[in-house]
Amino acid sequence: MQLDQPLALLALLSLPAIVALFSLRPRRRDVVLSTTSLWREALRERQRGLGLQRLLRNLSLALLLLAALALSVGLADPRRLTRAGAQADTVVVLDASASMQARAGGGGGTRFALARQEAADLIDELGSGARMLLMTSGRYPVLRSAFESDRAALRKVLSELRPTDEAGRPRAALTLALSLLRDRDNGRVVFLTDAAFDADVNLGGARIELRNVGGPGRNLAITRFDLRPEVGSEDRFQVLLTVRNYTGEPVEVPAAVELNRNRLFERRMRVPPGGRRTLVLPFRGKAAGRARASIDFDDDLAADNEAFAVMGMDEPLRVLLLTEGNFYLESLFKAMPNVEVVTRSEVRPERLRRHASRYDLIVFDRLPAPALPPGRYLLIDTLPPGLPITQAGRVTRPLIVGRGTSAIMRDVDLAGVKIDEASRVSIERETPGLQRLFWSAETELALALLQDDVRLVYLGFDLSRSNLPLQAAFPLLVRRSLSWLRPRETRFTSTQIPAGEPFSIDVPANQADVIVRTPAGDGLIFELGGAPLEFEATSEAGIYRYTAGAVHRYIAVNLTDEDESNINARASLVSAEPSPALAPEESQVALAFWSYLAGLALLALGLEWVVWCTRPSRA
Amino acid sequence: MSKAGTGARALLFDGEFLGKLERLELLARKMFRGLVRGEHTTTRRGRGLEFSDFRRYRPGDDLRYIDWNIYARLDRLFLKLYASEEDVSLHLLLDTTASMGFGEPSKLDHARRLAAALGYIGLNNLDRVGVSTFTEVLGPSLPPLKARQHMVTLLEFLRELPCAGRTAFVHPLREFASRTHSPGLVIVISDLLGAEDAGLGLDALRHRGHDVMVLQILAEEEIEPPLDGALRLVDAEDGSTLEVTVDAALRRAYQARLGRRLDAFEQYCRKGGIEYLRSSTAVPFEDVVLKYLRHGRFLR
Repeated sequence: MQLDQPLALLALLSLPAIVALFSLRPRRRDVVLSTTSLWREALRERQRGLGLQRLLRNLSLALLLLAALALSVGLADPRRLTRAGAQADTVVVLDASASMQARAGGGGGTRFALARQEAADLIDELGSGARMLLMTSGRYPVLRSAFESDRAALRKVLSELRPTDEAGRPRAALTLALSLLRDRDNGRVVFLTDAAFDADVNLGGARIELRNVGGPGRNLAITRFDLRPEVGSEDRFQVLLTVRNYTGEPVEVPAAVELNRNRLFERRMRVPPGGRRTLVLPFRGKAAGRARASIDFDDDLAADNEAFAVMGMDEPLRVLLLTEGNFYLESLFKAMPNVEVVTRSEVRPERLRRHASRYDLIVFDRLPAPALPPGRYLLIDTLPPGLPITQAGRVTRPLIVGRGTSAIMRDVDLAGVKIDEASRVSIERETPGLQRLFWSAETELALALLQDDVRLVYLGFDLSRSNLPLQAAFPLLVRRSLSWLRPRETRFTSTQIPAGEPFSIDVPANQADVIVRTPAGDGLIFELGGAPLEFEATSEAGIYRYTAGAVHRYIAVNLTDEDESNINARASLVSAEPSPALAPEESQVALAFWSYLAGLALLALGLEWVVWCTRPSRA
Repeated sequence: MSKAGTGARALLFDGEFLGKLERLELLARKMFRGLVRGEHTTTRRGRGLEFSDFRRYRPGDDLRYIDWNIYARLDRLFLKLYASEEDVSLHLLLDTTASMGFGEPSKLDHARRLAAALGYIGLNNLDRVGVSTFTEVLGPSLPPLKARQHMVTLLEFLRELPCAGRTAFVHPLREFASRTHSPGLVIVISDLLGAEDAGLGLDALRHRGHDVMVLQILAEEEIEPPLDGALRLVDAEDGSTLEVTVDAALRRAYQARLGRRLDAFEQYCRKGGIEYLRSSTAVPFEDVVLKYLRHGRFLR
């Protein structure tokens, strides 16, 4: 405590002056009365009120003395010296990466719980006027609060923080933390971490104070998990599973793989100390669905003991088949994976645009077709108006005499194909986007057209009046056509992203909102403004599902990070040098109290006025 | 108007007031042996006998007062009763303690005027009028006078009265009672302040056979004290002081106390058959004489 104006303490002399003034009695006027006995008796009657009167008189004196004392000391401008560190802005970075979920020491808590307790202690130590900002470090840094001096608000924010399944990137968080203190000379960064990241991470300078909340850990982790098709095969797949041992002893651990909750494999894996073991397991079948791999091992970090994958779970190809009955087509579509077929015998022209936006492909099988709105079509022996291709009669038993080089015709063998009757078509000259698939001498038998927003494949003959459906070329031709019309349909996809990485949700333009369901079962609703949604809340590993209208998709989010699963501290926890801002001789800050004392004096004077107004007369 | 009346006018009264007084006649509420019931044990001599009434003869009655005419007609013995018109002795007892000097005009001036008026009425009706003063002891006194020509003597006695001393009632009033030879009407004029023993003194007069009347004179400043603020109150009689800060609440307490004391004294007088009247110096003394005394049945 120091006084900037010590001479002002002379004002304390007002205290005895007040006491002296209070002791003065009023100058009384002599009045001669015939008798004073009645006045004495009247005064005696009022003896009861004198106690309160004396109390109020003493209270009044005490309040006046208090006001004078507060004013005198306030004029002396007292200041309390306090550590600048207590007043400095502090950025507390909590490592929220997956390794912080590891068990800490012998207790039942986690490293993150220890870090949170450290942060709570820092909040408790926060000096008057000092501010603190909370942020977490995962795959990306996240600001959890603004610079805040309200301890209760900081505690509330802190209590809501949870560790993630993300691989940490501490450098990004520390860089951001330092940038927040760029214009603050006495700011500091406190990084609460288990230091389970590469030792060569540049910690950004002396203003960062590292506090290690972890210790050595014992961990076994799935570091890679995926499914992929075998080369040259459409029904043979491989499971890829890598397990790494971070302990100092060999481990034999049971590993299991499930697909759509059905157990595919269960193997015992022997993993050498500090090494890794990879399994490649082939299987045959329909590799579509949600897969989960797990190892059964009691280690300090459970988050990396399982991994997830999603395969072929793209949006199914939705096909509207308009036909009066076509056994071959219906059978073929049903046999195709990830294809949903709706069959109808007619369609109203005014609804065709709606169907075109709802279905990926519309098949007109010998039914008259109206003008085509934007969409994808397979036209079988029918041609709608508005195309550069028109029908011009029929051709009997046309012989296939030529074939084009389109990707649709790749590997399609038409040698044995016979056609009883076909439509004769005429084509406008110089039609851009038109591909000839195969033809006879009289007419085009199959065409592909890409024009504006319309993409179509045309077969100019009735399938039932040819032997094409009986040929091996038929399913291949149809699949190639579908691939051309909707390329992604036949591609094998494995959708998997690291935890913390956002994924893009692209839904039809007419979809107003999308619902994302997290692995924990929470449903999150987002309104779409026509633009794709970047979903960022992927800090939890598992299978995410999003629904936009009739569209459902799954996304696998995994930890599977070798560095993150290494939960032993590797980074140096020693700062280069103490921050100049924390040097004791320069960290003193004087807090002024005069305003509080002035307020106290005003309060005392106000109370004294109230007492003066309420007290009874004096004897 | 007589010479005495002229002197009195010069001192205290105007002619109109004296004219009114002359028409008043002092009436003793009690007849002091004025009503003659025949010769009983002693015969008091008065200036004349006036027939008043008859009553039956009782053994021992004076046979000289038997009405023989009635006996002859009715054959029964009746006594003739005569009213004796004896002189009424009026004793004026004035409190001349220092407290009577309080007020503007002072209570003593007011008392002097009242005493002068009462004395004038008494002399005018050929009564005997005596004046005595008292403080702690019996003070200067004026022997009983009779006849209007002594009015000047009365007034000059009243004018020369001192105003000093402390109040006490028992000793001076008992002494006065022992000195008086014949009972009469005693009018005590006092402020009765500071007189805790006033009742005992008045009882001594009453027991002596006097018809007692008390005229309490209070200054208007005592009834509605114009005091406020920090004061040192000085007792006029004993010189004691009291430091006090007077405010409305304390004034109310004082007035309540005064009221209770006056009421208690009035109750005491009523029980003892003592006529009690209270007046203020703010009330003109002629109004007191003309209205208050008439209402108090002392004048007719």
